[in-house]
Amino acid sequence: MRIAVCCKGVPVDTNLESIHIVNGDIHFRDTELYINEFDAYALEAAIALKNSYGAETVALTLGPLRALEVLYIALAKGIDRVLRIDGDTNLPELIASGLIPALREIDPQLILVGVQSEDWMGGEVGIYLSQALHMGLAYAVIEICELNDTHIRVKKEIGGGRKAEVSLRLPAVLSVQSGIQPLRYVSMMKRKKARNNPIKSWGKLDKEIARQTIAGMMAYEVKEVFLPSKEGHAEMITGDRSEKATKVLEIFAKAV
Amino acid sequence: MTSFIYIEPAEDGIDSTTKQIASRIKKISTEVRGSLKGISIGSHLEGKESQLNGLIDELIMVEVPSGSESNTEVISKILADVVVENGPGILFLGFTHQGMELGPAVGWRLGVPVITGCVDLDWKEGRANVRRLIHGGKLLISLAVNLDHGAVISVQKGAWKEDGVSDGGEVSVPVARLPWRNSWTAERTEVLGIIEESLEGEEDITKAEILVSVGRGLGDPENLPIIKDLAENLGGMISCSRPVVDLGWLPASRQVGISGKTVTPVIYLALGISGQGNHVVGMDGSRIIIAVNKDPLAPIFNVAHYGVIDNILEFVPELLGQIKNNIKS
Repeated sequence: MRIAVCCKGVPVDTNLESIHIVNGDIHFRDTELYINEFDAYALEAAIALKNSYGAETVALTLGPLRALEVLYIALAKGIDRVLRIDGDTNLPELIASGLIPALREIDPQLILVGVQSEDWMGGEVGIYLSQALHMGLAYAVIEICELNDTHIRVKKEIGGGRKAEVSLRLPAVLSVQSGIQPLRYVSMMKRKKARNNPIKSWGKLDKEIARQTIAGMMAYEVKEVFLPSKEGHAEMITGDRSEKATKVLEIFAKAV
Repeated sequence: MTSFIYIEPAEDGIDSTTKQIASRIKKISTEVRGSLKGISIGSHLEGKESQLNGLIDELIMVEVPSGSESNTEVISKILADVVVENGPGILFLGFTHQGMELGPAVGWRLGVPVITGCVDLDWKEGRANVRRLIHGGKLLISLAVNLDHGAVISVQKGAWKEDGVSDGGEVSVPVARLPWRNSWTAERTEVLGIIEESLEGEEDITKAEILVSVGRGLGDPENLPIIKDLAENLGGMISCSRPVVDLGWLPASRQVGISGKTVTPVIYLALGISGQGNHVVGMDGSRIIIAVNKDPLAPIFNVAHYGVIDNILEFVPELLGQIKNNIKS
């Protein structure tokens, strides 16, 4: 059993200055990358499967050199091997296009991804992988109940507090919801040790070829990034702490 | 060009996001949007078609065998086929759990642009400018989308309002029935069952008039007692955002948002909650929203009626102190 975990490096800082639009794509400059929190949960789920079923685990990321930090965290957490595909994109179709050739080579029975990324907030990549690789998909998985050589049984959220129990034929993709396993703290010592592992670039995403391959899907481009309008913004309660608390309690008194 | 709306099932017939989308698209001129067709899969809408009067021009009801109605592999195949056979067109769906999964799956099958979590749409002939949130709702992006060959657009719950559609309200929606095809059979996934949440022994936060809701800003579960104390003194219940449940600090029955409950209390006091879209869709119907957050850029301030910039661990004791003093005096 081989399990691949796709992890994304997301920017540490959220500010307009670090975001640049290049050829309809978003690039982050002058900011460190850290592991997308939802993907960190996917890593934990993979390691739990490694411990329970003896699975081999591989983590991969598509990103610039700065994204290596994501893989160091994966190694420090106990992932067996890692690889980076060189590329700089935040468009989910291109990320999926870059991951697909590597995943074909890894040939996993199970692919885990976080349910969405903290920056793009879409959740498309795992779904694209399942379509492109002709695998079953479970989205927003909160529990892995059973795994054998041919099938996996999971529970997934379907909204409004309801869940569905689903059986998938392997190979399959699981989009993992946060909270599936507790996030373990990784000590600085372990991360430093992980940095001693040389990580070669597996290959490079050729964005032009990828765009041509899925030309129909790429008929869009990012034009502008901006702050939400102040219209609809809250009426801010000011003053010292005591005054602010008094005003909040006055609102309660009037409303209830 | 044709516009399609996937009509997502809900307990009382139709998911509210479906109606919000239909209301908005219906206002776009017919020359641009074309005919507006609803796609309903399974029998959930049987006998409730009149809920769509005035909202859509035609309803396509697709028959599926029992047990396949909630299988997203089956639904994505059906949606792709219906759009291909009646298109080209734009497929709209809600950015719900089901819509999050279906949108990219159908878009990949059709080979058309997929825009998720849309909050605004400016559609002119073959092009649209779409806005969506990024970075936890702190930033917005606009995207230019070429619609010549169609697209899939999922719409953030609550982004558009269900209003202003009264024309044709009494006119029945024409219904076209599509029989089941074996090519839609699930090959990789089987839904074994739906698990309803049990509230046995738990307070029902959807019934609360006052909710004191806590987020990641709580910092540590050791700080929970003071929040519970505040909720009790305000005569309310305690609720939370997703990270608090993920960390095991409160049970899932307390969670507000897309994965949890939708609540509409008189007052929703959001303490240390950043206000990501997945949380906001569960509480933005509250009559008064008061947000306390130390981050002045927290997106919660875009939906709250009143905002306080402060550390909740220092502000809540002040609130409690004043309440207790008021009781004494």
